[in-house]
Amino acid sequence: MLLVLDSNEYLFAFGAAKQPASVQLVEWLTTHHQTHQIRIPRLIVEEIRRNVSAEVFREVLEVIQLFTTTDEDILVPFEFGVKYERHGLKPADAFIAAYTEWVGAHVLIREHRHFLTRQVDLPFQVVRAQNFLDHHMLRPR
Amino acid sequence: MSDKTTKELRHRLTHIRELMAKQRSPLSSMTKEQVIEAIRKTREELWEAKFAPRT
Repeated sequence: MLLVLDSNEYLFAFGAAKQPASVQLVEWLTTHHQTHQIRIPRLIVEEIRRNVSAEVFREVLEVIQLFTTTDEDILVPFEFGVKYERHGLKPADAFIAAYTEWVGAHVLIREHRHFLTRQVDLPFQVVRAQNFLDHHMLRPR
Repeated sequence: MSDKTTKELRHRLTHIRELMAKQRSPLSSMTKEQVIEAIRKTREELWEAKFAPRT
């Protein structure tokens, strides 16, 4: 199963605020890499960098390199983003949706409340960490 | 992923959390909603700087 993790999941897993589900999610994924792969765009790496110290970011990069594939933003076809902007997303969020579709991910995991959740024809699921864990921790694939 | 890599990942995650707590990252003292809002602002700023000039 291919997953895209939004930057808030990483930052919560690293200790931002108190969000045990995100901590649990990232730890669970470290032991399920063979069945659950993670890809993220460069934008997410940059968002993390902007919100942590240089010392922390050095460690974060090591973690990301160990269990995440990073793609350059520029690779995502422009028209994918336009489609999601037309659905009402802001350009940057539209890009994340476009990226998720472009890589063929099954699930986008993020904590934002509003993200096209009323769209029934999305080619991927959008879930929070807790929802993902509820569905997958007891059902290993 | 080998057990060794999983072990290393867990060790590094623990280290990151220790650093975040030690450095008193602003994010550490925020609520979940505040963190989400902070990241949203970051995303918009990065997007503006990176792609807006091209559109």
